[in-house]
Amino acid sequence: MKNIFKLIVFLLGVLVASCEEKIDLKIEDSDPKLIIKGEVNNFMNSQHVTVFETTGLQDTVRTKPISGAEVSVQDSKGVLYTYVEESPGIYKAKGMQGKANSRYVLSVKVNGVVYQATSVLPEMVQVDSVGTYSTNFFGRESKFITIKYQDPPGIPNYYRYSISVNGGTFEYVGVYSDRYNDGKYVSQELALRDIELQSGDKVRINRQCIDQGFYDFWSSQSFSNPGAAAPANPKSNISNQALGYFGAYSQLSYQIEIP
Amino acid sequence: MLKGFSIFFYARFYLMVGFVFGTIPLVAQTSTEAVFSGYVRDMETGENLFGASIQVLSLDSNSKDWNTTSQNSGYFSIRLKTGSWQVQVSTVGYQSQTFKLNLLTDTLIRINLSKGTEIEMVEITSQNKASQIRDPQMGLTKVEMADVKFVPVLFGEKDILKTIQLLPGVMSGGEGGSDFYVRGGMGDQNLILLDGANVFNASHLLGFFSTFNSDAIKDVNLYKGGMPAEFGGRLSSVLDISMIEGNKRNYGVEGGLGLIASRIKVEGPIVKDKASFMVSGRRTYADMFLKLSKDSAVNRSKLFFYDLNLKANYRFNDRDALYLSGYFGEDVLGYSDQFGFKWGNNTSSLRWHHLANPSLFWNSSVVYSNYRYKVELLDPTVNFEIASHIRSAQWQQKFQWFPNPEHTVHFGWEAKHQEILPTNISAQSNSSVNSVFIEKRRALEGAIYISDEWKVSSNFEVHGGIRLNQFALMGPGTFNQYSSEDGSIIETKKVDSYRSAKKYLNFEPRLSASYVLNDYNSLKASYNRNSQNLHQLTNTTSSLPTDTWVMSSVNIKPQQAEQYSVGYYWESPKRDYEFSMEVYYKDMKHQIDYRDGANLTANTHVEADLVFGTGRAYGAEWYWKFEKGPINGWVSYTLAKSERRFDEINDGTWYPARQDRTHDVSTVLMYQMNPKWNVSATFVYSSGQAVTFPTGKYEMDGQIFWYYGYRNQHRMPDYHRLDLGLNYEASNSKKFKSSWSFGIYNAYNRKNAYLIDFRESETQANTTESYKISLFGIIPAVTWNFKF
Repeated sequence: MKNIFKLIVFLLGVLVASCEEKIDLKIEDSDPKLIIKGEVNNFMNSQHVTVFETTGLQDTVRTKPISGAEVSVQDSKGVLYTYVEESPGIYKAKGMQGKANSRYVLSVKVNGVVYQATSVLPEMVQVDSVGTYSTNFFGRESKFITIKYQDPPGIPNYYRYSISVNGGTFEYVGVYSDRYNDGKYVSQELALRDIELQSGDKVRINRQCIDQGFYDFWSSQSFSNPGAAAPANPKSNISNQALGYFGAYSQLSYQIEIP
Repeated sequence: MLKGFSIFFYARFYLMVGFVFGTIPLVAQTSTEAVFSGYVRDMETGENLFGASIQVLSLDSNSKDWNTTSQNSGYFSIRLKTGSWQVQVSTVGYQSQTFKLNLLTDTLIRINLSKGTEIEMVEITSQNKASQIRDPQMGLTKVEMADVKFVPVLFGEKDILKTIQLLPGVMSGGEGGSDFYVRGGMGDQNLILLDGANVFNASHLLGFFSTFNSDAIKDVNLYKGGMPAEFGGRLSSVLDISMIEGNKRNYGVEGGLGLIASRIKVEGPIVKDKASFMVSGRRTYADMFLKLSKDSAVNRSKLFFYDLNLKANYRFNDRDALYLSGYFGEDVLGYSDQFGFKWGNNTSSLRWHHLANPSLFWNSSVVYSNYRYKVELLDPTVNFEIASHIRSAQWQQKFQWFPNPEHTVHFGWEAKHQEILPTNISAQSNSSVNSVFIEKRRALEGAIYISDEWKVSSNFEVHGGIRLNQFALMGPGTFNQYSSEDGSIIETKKVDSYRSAKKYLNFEPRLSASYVLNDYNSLKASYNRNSQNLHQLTNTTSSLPTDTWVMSSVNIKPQQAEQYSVGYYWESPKRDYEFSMEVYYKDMKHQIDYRDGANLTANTHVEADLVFGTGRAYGAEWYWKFEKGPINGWVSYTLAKSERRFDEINDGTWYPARQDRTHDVSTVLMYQMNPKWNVSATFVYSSGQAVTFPTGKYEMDGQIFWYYGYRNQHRMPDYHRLDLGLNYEASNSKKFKSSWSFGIYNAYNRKNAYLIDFRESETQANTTESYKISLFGIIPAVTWNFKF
């Protein structure tokens, strides 16, 4: 599908001499909207939930943290973890490490309203090999990371990747589901949007096995592109129309040098 | 199903049937009456002329004057009192012909009209008027192919779909595109017929070109409202396109070389005056430049489309004629031998025109349409193919009966088999993806209709009709009913072959009336109800070749529309000015949208992601056409609103449809300076369409996210553009004619917004900047045309 997209972009490039120009639009901001982002993973012994609000388009901060929320997570065994506000809007539970197949229920109380979400921590799907792949598209060479693994048949699996190049910050690459390749031996190509990989680059790859709620949020992020016919906010799995997501995941990291 | 129709409606239906049958006096064969009938044809080519007006003026003092129009085989028929009549036959672009008729017995004549560049000045009498004033048909625009020739368009490819976008009530689907919206409807609500066959996807190359090669087109009629009962199946409009039959007298070759495509047409007699053929082809050659590349992957790539139009006909005698027509078109995209993407339409139709007696004729047609696309990925690790198609085969039987001069009755039926293969993925065993097979969907659709064109008095005429449409979704298959709340499966039903899974019956009354105030002024009103059982799902701004089509089903009810319109028409005594104003209101039921984040491709449960709502559209259209010597053209202005309401969207309140544009102006001006030079200009202006802009922002994992409030609450910037054209007839010998046509698209290089992109400011941290992306700046075009 990525190839189709590339080809269409190329085609448009042939036909169309598009151009862009900055314009002034008067857009009235919406009322601030509550966003909750909670993750539970299997490799750290403290977990975080962030509670914040949208800001206006011309505000000089990206988000406005919400302090004073009551945040807790309960696992399948009934253990309740109460989160403590570590810095404005960021809530932390110490001594909490996620376990595969455990179900977590998030509860966030803000101004008397309770927002809830559930997530199950998926088991890690083992990777066979991490390598690189180079391709030539209309005369330009591009290098990709390839991750090979056997997708477990019969169950839905979701994956999320982020990449750090030469010690830089991890950048989100994408989320993938096995909707079209359930049970297959998968060779996943990964590429960064802004950075062309060069020979000698040291690359760290975070591979996360996520559940559906987590996946839906990130995959529907593409619908929020202003060019879509009806752009919409990413799909949330939190009750009471709060935006964001709550997702439990397992993670393994890999390192490779680009040949 | 029937609960949707009130008792009031039944009352109306029976009134309508009574109207059709009750008012037609059975004609007694008295010796004082005879049928005057005939064919109207082009003198030079023998081509049948559709829509010519035939006026018969009584030369005896005791008879009334009458008029009729020629049908699509060029045939007309009128039952008159025996005696002396003066007959005048006229149609736009041809010289009128007047002759005296001494009618004693049934008479069939052939009338050949010669092309006339200037409108002949004709004697003005009470009946001697163009049909617009008297014809109760509203919302009909006949597109003159001569105008299409001079209207400048993008890349210089003459295009009827782009020309109709300049008419009132018709809006362009997007910059440079061939998609169009009629009176607030969606793109899939237009019934596009080519010689009676459905064209499912009328665009090439992502919509920049239409599938209609204007060389092969004879007639284009667009109905925006008050559709005659013989048409059904779509809510918004009917675009009825007929291909040229082929010159019956002489061979001819015509063609052109353009920047984007070249075209050639060959036509001529097979048997002189009896049988002829027409073959017309067009191909683009952007991919030829790829061949120049040294890179083997690039020079093996493909990027082109072609169209092939074929028509042949045989006139056995004055009673029988056969017409065979076909269209084949395809877009081909390919990169090296790893990737291929093809899509295209085929249509074919075989029509038998038969005169049962001078007052009754019928057309029997067998029609086939097919649209399909295929994506192939042949990379050794990927290796799969995505395919989908939609096919329909139908039989249409259409009768026309002329019992007396007051009445023309149309009746008939059609039976259709339709099949959709939803997007399927077939993968090789070594492929990294799985095959996805989604069941085919089949439907049988039958319709019967009857309508009467009734001249009640010399200044009042009514067209009334009814169409009954029965749709049956057929097995074999598994049919799920989904919850409207969350899309979960409520019930699953397995249906065997030849059994129906769901049926819908639709009654579609159609009514229009005209009241002539005087020779130059008339008032018209119309009402029509339409239904639609085939729906296109699209999640992009313009239609894509891979858009999913679905049929009415357990979950999807037929879309329905009811439209009311009234209009005022004026013509100047010399017929050089024409003015009309129409006002309409349209109510739409069972409109389709989808849930946020819906996956529309290769999804077995695509119907679970759909939501259903209502729509309404209303507006006023002004149209001023002029033909003053060498200068002609038109100005059209539309003031309109189109809204939707879905429980799941914007808290269930009315909101503007995406194609809602308040103001829409088109101006077309053509000036024939002398026989060699013709200059033309078009100017369009429209206020911005509805769009959803972000109204807030937030951050996740270091990325900026836009927050969207309510849908379609913002407006794109206004759109305006000037196009210029220049045509030069180079040599004009009898044997060989050639001409040059030059065009400039977007002459003052207006940067119209195609989309608005939002980004974080680089200078002022975290604040938002908006950028307007425009597609086409000023674009020149040149085409060389020849004819011999």
